[in-house]
Amino acid sequence: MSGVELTDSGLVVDREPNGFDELAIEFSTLAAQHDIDHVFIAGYVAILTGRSRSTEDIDVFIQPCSEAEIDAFVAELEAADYWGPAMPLSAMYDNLSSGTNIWVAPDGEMSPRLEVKFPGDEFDRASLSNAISASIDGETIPIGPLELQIAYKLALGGRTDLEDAAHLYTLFGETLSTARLETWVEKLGTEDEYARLTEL
Amino acid sequence: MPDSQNSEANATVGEIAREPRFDAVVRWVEYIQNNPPEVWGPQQNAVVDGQIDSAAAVDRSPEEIRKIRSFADDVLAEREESSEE
Repeated sequence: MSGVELTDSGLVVDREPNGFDELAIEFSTLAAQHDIDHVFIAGYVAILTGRSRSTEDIDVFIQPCSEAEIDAFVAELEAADYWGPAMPLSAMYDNLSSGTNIWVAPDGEMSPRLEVKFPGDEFDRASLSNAISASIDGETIPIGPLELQIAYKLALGGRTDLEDAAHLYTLFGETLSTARLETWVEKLGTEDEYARLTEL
Repeated sequence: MPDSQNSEANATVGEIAREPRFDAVVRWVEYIQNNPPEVWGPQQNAVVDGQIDSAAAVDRSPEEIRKIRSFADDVLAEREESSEE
């Protein structure tokens, strides 16, 4: 049963894709065509793994790139009928290089959308460099390592974040690496929240 | 007028609203684990796709969305400050 499995080769999701999955898959395909390393993180990872909630955006880190590389990627996105609902996609490099994000959505739409960022700290960079593969509907996308997602959600501490952490922890249980999870928990200083999680 | 089942008699409305619903999360995970994806997948996708459809029906500008987020952030920050005092 279940249809969501964490294997040695990554996450396998065996349900029909929803609107967020379709958006993530299409963006990932376009990024891969430009050899732009990227990783989906945060709430979308919980939703991909079956969490019954929604969100307004899909958070995705892309590797820091040159202005020319970003401009080429933007041209590809626009050719594929994407736009920037908050700011023109032509501002992508300026936004990303100044540490802010940029929204990317299907042309004329506001939601669902992607919130694209360059990694900003060691946890962001760790998500990118330790990404695992997630397969759904015959497609593969990179997602942040589940142990880091859990610890980071505990650190964020909002209700939805804590529930996301609980979802991932209780769903994957013993298939998670306790050593890696506890390393991230310690780095993020979320020992108390983690202790509560292990009691669920 | 609570619509949640995790209310506690001595909690304020704000406390109830902020309390994670771990029981509901765990029940849903058990449901996923005990049923094939053909059963739980469409239910989950109804939640996800339902919100996408609803959002599409309400034409909010980026500025409106930022204002909504900013309001929530401000209220939460004020509550956090007052709880630390």
